[in-house]
Amino acid sequence: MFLGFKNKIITSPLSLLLSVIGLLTLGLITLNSITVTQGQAPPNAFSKQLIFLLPAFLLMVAMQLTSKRMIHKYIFVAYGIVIIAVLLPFAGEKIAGTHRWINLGLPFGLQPSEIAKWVIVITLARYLSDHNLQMRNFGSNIVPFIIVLIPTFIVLSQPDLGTAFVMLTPIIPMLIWVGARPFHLFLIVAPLLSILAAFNVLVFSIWAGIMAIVIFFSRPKLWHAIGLYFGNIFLGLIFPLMWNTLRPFQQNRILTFVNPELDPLGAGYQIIQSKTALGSGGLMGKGWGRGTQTHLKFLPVQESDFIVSVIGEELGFITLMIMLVLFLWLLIKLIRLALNASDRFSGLVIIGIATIFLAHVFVNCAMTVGMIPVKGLPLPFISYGGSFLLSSFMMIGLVMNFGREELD
Amino acid sequence: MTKTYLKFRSRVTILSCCLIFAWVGLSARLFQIMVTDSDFYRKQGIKQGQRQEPLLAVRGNIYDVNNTLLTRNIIHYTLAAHPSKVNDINGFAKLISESTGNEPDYYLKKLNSKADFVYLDRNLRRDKVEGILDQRIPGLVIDRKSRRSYPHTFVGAQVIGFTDVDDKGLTGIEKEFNGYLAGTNGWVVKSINGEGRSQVKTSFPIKPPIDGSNIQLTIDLEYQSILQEELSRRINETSAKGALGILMDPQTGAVLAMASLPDYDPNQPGSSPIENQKNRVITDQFEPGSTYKIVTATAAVATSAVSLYDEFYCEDGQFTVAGKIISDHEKFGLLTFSQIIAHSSNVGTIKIAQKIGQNPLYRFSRDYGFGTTTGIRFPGEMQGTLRKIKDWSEISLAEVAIGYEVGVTTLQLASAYSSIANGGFLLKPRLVKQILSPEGKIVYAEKPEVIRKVADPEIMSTIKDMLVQVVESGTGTNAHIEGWSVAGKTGTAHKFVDGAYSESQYISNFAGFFPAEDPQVVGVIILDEPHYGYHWGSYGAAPAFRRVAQRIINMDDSIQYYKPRTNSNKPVYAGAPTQDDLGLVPINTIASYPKYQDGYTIVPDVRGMSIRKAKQVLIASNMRASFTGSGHVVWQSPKPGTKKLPGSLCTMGLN
Repeated sequence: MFLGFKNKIITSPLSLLLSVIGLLTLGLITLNSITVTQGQAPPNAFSKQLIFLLPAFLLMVAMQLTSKRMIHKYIFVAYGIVIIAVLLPFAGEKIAGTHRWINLGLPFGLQPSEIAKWVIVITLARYLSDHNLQMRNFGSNIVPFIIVLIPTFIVLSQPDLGTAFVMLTPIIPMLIWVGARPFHLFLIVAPLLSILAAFNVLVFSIWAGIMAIVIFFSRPKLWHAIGLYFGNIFLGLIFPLMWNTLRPFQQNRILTFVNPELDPLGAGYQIIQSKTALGSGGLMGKGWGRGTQTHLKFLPVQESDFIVSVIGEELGFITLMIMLVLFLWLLIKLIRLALNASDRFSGLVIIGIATIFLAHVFVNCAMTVGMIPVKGLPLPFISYGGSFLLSSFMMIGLVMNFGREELD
Repeated sequence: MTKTYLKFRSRVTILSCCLIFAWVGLSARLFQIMVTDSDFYRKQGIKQGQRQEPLLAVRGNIYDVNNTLLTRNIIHYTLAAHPSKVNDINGFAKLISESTGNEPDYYLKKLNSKADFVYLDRNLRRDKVEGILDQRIPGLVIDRKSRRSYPHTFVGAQVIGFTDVDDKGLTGIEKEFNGYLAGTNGWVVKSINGEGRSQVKTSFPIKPPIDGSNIQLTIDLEYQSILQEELSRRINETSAKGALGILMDPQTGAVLAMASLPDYDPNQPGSSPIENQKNRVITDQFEPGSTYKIVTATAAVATSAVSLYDEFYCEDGQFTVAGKIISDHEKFGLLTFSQIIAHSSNVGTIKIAQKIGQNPLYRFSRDYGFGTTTGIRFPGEMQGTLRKIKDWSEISLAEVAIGYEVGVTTLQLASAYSSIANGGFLLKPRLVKQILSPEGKIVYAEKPEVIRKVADPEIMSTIKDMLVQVVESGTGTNAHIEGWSVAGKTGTAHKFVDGAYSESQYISNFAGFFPAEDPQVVGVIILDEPHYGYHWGSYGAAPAFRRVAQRIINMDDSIQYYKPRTNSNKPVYAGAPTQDDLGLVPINTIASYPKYQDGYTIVPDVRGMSIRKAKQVLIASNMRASFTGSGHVVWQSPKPGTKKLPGSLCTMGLN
């Protein structure tokens, strides 16, 4: 049996770990700079992160060794358990204004939505691989969305916009991977875009034109095409009217939820500080432990959400580029593993997990440089955060398990 | 290329494209921020890490002529809070209320507001914030500010003035010399962090504040207190609406005291009506009545239109000028020029004026300083009213001659009488002696300044003699002080109310100086609408003048009477020092006799001293004092040099 374990490990794509170790080192160096320079005594972010590495590594190995067949068999049960787990924090007290964490009496809280991310991915993979041949049928696209949306809405109401967004992202690449017709995806996405475009006449006109062209070239049945087109136009026209019936404060509440930068003393301030830290770092950075924006505490949530700004200020543009290359290498490696996967289920799981990593990296970095509104999302392997570190290593374990070349 | 790869080719391409697109976008943006715009963000980072904070200059103080402090700067504390940064609002309110003594609810109400920043309490003294000053309570802001305080409250309030909440002078000297008092604020650059905490780094630039300069007034707090007390007392006795008074040194133009009642407390300016803040001695004009007759008299003497011994028939107290009936307060027959002034006959004065004519009367009004500002450095001086001759009506000559149809300020009247006292020179009145920088350098000083010569000393001497007669035997006898020669003139004027001269509202005034031979203090007292009976200058204002003068004589050693009045029918006490003797009196009597010899004390020589000085000397020699009379000590018992037991009584007679 141990021989089997050894074989399992040896045959895993261990080269993935190189980039993981590289990123982890960069994260620990940065956390160490924050805690040392600001004179924080342990237990601090750095020491806690180190402590969490051990269970993270063990969980990774466990995920690597768990039988693929077992996972495939019991994943729906796991999905049910995860839904309950995500609901559990609502029974407890709010922590930091949200119902994200479960307090088990440990010195740290556990965040079930972190686990939910990849459980949803595997559940989707199971469903999509089971219904592989029906994917050209529009109706088959509906169930995957239901699978994703249930936990997403629960997480959204915790409220945790960032994690909800990350849960939502894997479905599109996975549908593409399994061979769903792009037109069907368009059908699903179109109403959302209609609503968003409706607020500007010019944008809405362009959108209506694009819609007409797409529908024309997809050649659906005539009454489908007419219904689809005018349904979307109608939605776009009716939505601003519904919006206007809301009271101004209700509108503001929704707008601030979507885009926290509208609150200038809150998120707007954070973006300014983040850009100032990055910019004052320059090409080479100010040097380890010398980031004044960071250590004078102008930069908010510097251990997790804005850790990129800390790296940028102290270690410079070059180091950030190296970091991005490491992430890129990891993701390309994952896509190749998916491509060479022994079965469709494994490929889907790897693609889903790759999408989760991509979403985290892109949203975190884009937020840091002010390209998108502030969403509290950590950077994998670099940001401080126990549950997320465990979850990330479990995903790496799963990828190594599912990306193994089957010898038997 | 495997078959699988070809099958997934388009799918891989889509995903890879997304990935590359995201990475190129992020890199480009990072390059823009970190390389292209790096300088901008670097400067912004340095800027937000520093803050320039003001270093407040300490406001200069105001002193009286004897360097008694008239103002003070007291540090006050203002408490404010950022309610959102307070962890436990109830505990916070309780903590503060324990220190300040206010109810916690008072603070809770403010803390529960939605505002980002609220003031909790203003202008607290240090003992009220002692408990919370050194604790770093999150969300609490303590602001330290210096604020003006006036230790002598009502005394000299209108002269000194007061400041607003930002310590900017609003009235009086505080306003006029605000530029000197305020000083220049400095600044310091501090490094701050994201939580707003600041610290000074020695390498950062600093500009120290320049403290305000100190002002020494010509006002003497003792004189001022006496004047204000006596005016207040007279208001109570006569039910007057108000009273004005000024004491001036006629030789230098220095204002020794200046008061306008009712007054106010500059520490709480809001608690009295705003009119009380006005220094009405300078800012208000009135028709003086008979005190103005000095102008007619001077014009008469100077133009030689009338000789001192010319007699005028005073028409039994009534006569008609240009259709208007002019009457005297008493029925007079034939009076000489001097007697007309002494008894203040309107009819007689008008007859003299008619002999002089319009031009000299107008010219001397002008020369005495009426109708123009005196030039004193004080906000809001009124120039008074003196119409040009071309605007005079038929009756104007008569009216101006007896002090109607002209408007004068109390200060102008005092200036005019000063010029009589000093032998003919109109001086610019001054309130400020000098202004000293914090290092003690004189940055501004006012020296005695002659505006013009009004008349020759001989003419003024004649006028002065007439004014002495007024007090000796005329309307001003109520201002007479035993043993002293006082010169002065009473005035009783109908107030001009709603276009006509009132028959029930009067201005009672008295202007004079003493000692007449060597005038050292000029005083003007004005009573506004005293009760009928006190409305006469002789009954209303003159007694107040006498009391003020008497108290000053008793208090101030520097005021020496010139010589015993030889024409006085008072007996001259044996042993009373003459002017010549006074030069021989040792200045330091205490030093010339040892205090104790074998447990005994030696009686000092206190002859020639004022009450105050005598008391000081006696107390220093362990003796008790008992006085009779007022003025200076003319005799004492026991004799100087006698051995007495400590605590013995020394009786003194004063004159």
